[in-house]
Amino acid sequence: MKRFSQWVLVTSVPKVRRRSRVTPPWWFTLPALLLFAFVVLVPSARGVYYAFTDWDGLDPELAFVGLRNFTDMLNDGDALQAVWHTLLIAVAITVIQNGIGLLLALGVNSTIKTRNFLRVLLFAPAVVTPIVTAYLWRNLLGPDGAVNAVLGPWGRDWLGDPDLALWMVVLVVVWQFAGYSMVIFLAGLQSIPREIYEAAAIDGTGPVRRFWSIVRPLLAPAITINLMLSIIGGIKLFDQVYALTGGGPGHATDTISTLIYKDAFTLGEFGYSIALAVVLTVIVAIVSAGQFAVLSRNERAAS
Amino acid sequence: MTIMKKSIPVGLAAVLLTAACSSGTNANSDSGGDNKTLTLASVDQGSIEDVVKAFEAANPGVKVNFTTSGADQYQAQIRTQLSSGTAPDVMTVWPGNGNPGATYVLAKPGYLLDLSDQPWAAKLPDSFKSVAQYDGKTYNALFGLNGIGAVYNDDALAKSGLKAPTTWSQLLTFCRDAAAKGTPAYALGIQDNWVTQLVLYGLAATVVFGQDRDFNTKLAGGQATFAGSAWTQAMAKYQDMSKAGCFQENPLGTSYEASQTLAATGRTLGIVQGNWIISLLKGKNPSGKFTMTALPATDDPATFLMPAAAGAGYGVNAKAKNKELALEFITFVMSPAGMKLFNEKQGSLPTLPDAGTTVDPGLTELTTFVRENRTVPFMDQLWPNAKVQQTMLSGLQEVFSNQATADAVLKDMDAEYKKGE
Amino acid sequence: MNRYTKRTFVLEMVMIAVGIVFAFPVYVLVNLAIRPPSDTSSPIVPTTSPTFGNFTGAWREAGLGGALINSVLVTTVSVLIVLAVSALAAYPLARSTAHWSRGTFLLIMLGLILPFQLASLPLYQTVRDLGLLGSVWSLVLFYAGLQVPFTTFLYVGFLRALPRDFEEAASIDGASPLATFRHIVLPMLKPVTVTALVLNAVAVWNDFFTPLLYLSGSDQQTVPVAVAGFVGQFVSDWNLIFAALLISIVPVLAVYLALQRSIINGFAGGLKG
Repeated sequence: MKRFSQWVLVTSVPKVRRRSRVTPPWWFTLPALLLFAFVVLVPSARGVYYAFTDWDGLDPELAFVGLRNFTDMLNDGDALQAVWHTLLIAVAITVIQNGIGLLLALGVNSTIKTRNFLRVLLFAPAVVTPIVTAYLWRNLLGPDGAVNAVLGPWGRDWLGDPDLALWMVVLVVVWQFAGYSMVIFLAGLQSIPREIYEAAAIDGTGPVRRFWSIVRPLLAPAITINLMLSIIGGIKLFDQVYALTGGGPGHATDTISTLIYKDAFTLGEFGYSIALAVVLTVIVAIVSAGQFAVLSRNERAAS
Repeated sequence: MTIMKKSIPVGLAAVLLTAACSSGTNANSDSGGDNKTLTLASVDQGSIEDVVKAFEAANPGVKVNFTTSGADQYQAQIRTQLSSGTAPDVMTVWPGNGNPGATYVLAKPGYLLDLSDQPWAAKLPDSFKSVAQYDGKTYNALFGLNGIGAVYNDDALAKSGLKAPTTWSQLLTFCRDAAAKGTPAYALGIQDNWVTQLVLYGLAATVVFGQDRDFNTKLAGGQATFAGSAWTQAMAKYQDMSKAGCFQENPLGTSYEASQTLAATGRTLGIVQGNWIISLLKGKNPSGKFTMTALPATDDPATFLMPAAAGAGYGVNAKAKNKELALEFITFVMSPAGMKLFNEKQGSLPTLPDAGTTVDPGLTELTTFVRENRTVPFMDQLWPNAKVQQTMLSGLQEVFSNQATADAVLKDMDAEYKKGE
Repeated sequence: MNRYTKRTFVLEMVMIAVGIVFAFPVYVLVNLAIRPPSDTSSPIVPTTSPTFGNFTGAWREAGLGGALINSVLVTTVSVLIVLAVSALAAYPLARSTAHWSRGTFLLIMLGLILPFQLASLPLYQTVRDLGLLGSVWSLVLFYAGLQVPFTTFLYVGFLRALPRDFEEAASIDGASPLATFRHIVLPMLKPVTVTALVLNAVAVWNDFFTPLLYLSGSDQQTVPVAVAGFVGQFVSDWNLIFAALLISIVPVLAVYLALQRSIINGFAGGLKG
């Protein structure tokens, strides 16, 4: 759920007005810190150590191999392809999910009678277990599945065609989380005072222009949040790919996460697999840092 | 419902949907060395249950705590558990090498108990000894034998008016005729990538090993490679079959499960699979009759060989809490009664001659081939690492989706092979 | 703005069509779940002779009863722990500007970018050494730690935007820091707590791989693991599988429908600040 997070930055401008006489004691952080160190920090550090070894997950004997796991990666076509797929999926999900989410939000932020019903309906997939939705779609997209039954002669081998399979992964994620983007956009739209719309309407501004020049700037926080959530979530995507295609056909849908899993558990290359996890961490860190920079700039601009 | 894919020593081979499905109780910790409670982890869903029941009945007061899971999940778990010291007393172990749960891989770091002094160990036929042993010692109680061939739905075949082919030329004609009648010859479910290898093995048995029984030795010695060898012809024939319309549409979107349905219900005339498929097909079509034959790969039936090899067996944890009880269980599995029970449930053939197993009548041809020594082991069982097979499996998917050429896949396999263990 | 015009009607129709497209997979899910296995007609044709046999079969075979209890237990306990420790930690982290406070905050935030793959194997060995493998308490421990960064982040962001006047008044009155936290700070945190509760509960409930790893080889399962195991075992019977998927979804959807307003607001929460 890390992906749902960074938005708080939007509201987290430190407002230190005056120095407090009494600060809460440091030991308040201790329980959280201990749990965090035990579950995340220490094991991750040990994990990083394994990235420089040839550990196979089984043999108690392991050798320090320096940077070999990382240099191997540069010659591993599967790994390079997986990095490409990971970025492609992340970008595609970000663009499509938020585009659809925004249109849905505009749709249900109107005076249509079914708006409340549709809000509840469209958001519902977001609370369902991803592995369950992926199994469902695996059946729907099969050669004899419901999608082909609807499309008739236009049916395709959705998951078996390497040119389509990656987009099916994107489709399933978008289906599940477009409603989530919608909800965030909706909250943004509803925070825009009605008078602003009405003033614009009186001005005779057309709806498209009204959206672009008035609504869009005011939606900036919602846009930032949505972009961050979907791009980080897209980079780390695992459950859906695992259940939908297993990375296939061939390696057509392998992402860094599925490759980490396969290299560790199928091939027993734990050292190499954890080295891939380190690369994943670095990618997430770079993207997060980039977003943080953009965010801070926006906040400065806003204040 | 048994998923028998584990009968093939496939590494992960991606049955995407498998995961732990435990049908027993807690397999680790608390069971002390009381010689009353045995812990067991198995991939033999659908057959181990009955074997455990029979074992418990034969040993009053003994309780077996067992878990079953799919092959890929099992391999992930057993590794972690062995290295962490939480593995069960008895566990599924694959023959030979080439996957993370295989005999060589687990015996080398000393995780398995030496079973050489067990009475059955000396009786195993040589072809099984080579894959049950590591460094001259026996570690794996191999109880069942499986083969790969073309399995026909007899009713569908009769209805089509076609005859099962017995030569390569007939096979291509058969495929074209069957496709023209709207019921393709063979179901192919290669969305699950372990299935991709079956047709290739069926062809390679005759094409590669028919010419040169010692091909694997030469491969290991560096005198041969995949690329440029008869493997190229086997690959080409696989593609010829595809071009002749031997398989139904969209094989890459068709799962192992869906391919069974096609063959069982007569929407294809048959399927190229292992012998275990027969009991699965009968599960889907109880009134159906299914017959297995060698997959024709040349025009001279006398040269046909079938891929046949030991399926997964059982090994004992070197640090078993209940060694005595574990050995008793192994003894039971390898006894005529245990072996009969296991193999009849799995539809496999016994590895020891005196088991008295009733073999499915559809498997007569396989039995004959085994008796006449016209079989070759599954090709991967003596490959040095799991990556060779994984490269082949995903490579074949890429060949089928025009992402790679057969030659490129064979070259990649050579590259992985040369990396050794 | 508020009139229902012809244009609104067109929009209404378009949105309903979109809703139907979104709901289509659920229709197929239900349609196949109530269909007897012998019925092999197209998946989109309404089932003519519906049966509940799949549900009883799936419930029995998948062990969903025990899995539901485990999931509820793990989710409830771990979310309560993580909310408690994170809120407590957020208080000094939001209020103090000392170096240790900033450093600690950054350290915890590091957890937001570390992928779980990095830690999962070393942690497995530790959990084993504690004798917690195969126990749902290993999951409680895991989530209690894993969700700390995110939850702390929520609380710190929220707290920084709150005035500190009440706390200072209380401390001038001689209240201990702990008492101030319990009686002054905690009640003010209610809105963000709802958000944190919803997001953490959904994350913990839906997680698949951790329980798979830590509970493997035991009879303890959570709902996603039970479902995945069931799919693996009954791979050939989609009617049964769909029934199991549906059973696993129903409790979540029931909670969602009952608390839809809080949940949707929880997800969107941060925007309203």
